[in-house]
Amino acid sequence: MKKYLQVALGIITSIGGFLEIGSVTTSAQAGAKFGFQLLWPIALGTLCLIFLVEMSGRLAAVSKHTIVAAMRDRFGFRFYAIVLVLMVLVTYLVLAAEIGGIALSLQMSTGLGFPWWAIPVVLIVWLLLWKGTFEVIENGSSLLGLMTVAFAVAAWRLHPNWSAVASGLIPTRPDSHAASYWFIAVSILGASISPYLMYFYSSGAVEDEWDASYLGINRFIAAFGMLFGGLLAGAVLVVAAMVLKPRGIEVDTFQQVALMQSVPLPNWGFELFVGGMAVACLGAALEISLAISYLFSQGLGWNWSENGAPDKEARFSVVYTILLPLASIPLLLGIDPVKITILSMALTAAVLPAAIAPFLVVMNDKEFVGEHTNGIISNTVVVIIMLMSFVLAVVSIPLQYFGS
Amino acid sequence: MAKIDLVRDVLDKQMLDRNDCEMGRVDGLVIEVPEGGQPRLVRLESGATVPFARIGKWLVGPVRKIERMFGPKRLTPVRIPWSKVVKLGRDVHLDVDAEETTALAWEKWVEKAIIDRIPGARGKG
Repeated sequence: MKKYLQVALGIITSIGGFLEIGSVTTSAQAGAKFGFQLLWPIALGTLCLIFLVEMSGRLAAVSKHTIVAAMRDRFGFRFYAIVLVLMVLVTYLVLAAEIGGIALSLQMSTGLGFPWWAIPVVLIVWLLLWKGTFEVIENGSSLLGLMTVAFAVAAWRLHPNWSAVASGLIPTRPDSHAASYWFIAVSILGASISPYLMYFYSSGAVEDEWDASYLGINRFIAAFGMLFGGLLAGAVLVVAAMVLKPRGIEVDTFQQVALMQSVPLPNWGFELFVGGMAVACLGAALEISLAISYLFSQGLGWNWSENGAPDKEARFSVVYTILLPLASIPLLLGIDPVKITILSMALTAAVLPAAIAPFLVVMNDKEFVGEHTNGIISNTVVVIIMLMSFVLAVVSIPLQYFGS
Repeated sequence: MAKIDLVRDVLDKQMLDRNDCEMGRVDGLVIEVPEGGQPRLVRLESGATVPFARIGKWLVGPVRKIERMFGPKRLTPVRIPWSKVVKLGRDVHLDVDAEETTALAWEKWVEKAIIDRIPGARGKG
């Protein structure tokens, strides 16, 4: 019985955890500028994430070790140090973006500018980590995050031409604005394939003491949870394509994304968006802060647990306690969270090989996962999507920021 | 006689004490070579400047400086004689008590210097 409950909660977590400022902004941008044409990166990113999340859970259930621990075991301190530096830098920006997402939601509902909200928001995130247990964080934020299902309702109500939507699932080259097309594609891939989600998920599975009997459940959660999450990101794109594109509105503020929701859902679209985004970004901010604490603790061999009191897990707790105030700095300086989001998502795609390649090696090692090594399909799919994201990122980021 | 691939199966592994308390990772292995004799593995080392020295000796100075400024001021790495290694597997199990080594020096320093000064550090939920 407990396991069925866990499946339900796991799926809800994934739905609530998938959508955050990254997926919403990049999907809305894509829809507003290119219609349904950029649905394929959402599909590819979701497919890749399904495999990666399944692997994260499988590693934890079979070996009782997390991804970070296994990486340090096999690849040593030097490689770990490189991944640590890269991931901390990129994830720091993602965290700032998520805190910005909460602050922007508060700005939209109160009228008070987002920089004013940076410190209160950081305090709330920190307090939830300081006093909350893993379960509270996982279940609480994700249940509320279900508000983001409103996007699916909105897309449905707009009655899109479904065959046109389906044709967006096949990668095509753009007729114009090639640089921005590929850059948005990269940002979407980076927003979907989040390494922090893998770190969080595998650590959670170890904290919940999963064993091999959880493998079926794990597969189910990964497949359905991420699929639903991906569908919601797709719904955002569809709404943007049908509401913003015909009006020639390009997304450069969060406000525009919120307002587009009030076309299909005139009575409560805006409010649901504001509430849903605040909670979804809060959930992501919690997961990211924990992921960084896990990254340090597991790689350096410290004691770690989000279920222990801070004085019992001092180094683990001090990592997020230092990180969170630092993440408020860009917002206090008035840097637009949407700009931070877009940059950080593209950078995430660029660092994917560093996070994923060692993980794949471990997942093919019988010493870690016994008979449960990866199959040829999961290896191939993940390698192809990871390399594609990397190449696209390396080519399109300089073009976007330094190109003509 | 059992053969052990030191770099593959010992270096970088998680060290656990006799109560399964995490006590850092194996950052270094020390081998002594007596004059004219065979090399002999004497101990595992962990923490302080040991892992940084693996990246570059130039890192040792700055790391030491930071530890002297903030840290627990016990700069010696954790040194575990090879005779205390009881089991090698995914982790390295040791017949020691983490509390009696310097493995938790940073943990205790962070707890005292930072965590305990913040309200609500004891207990959860």
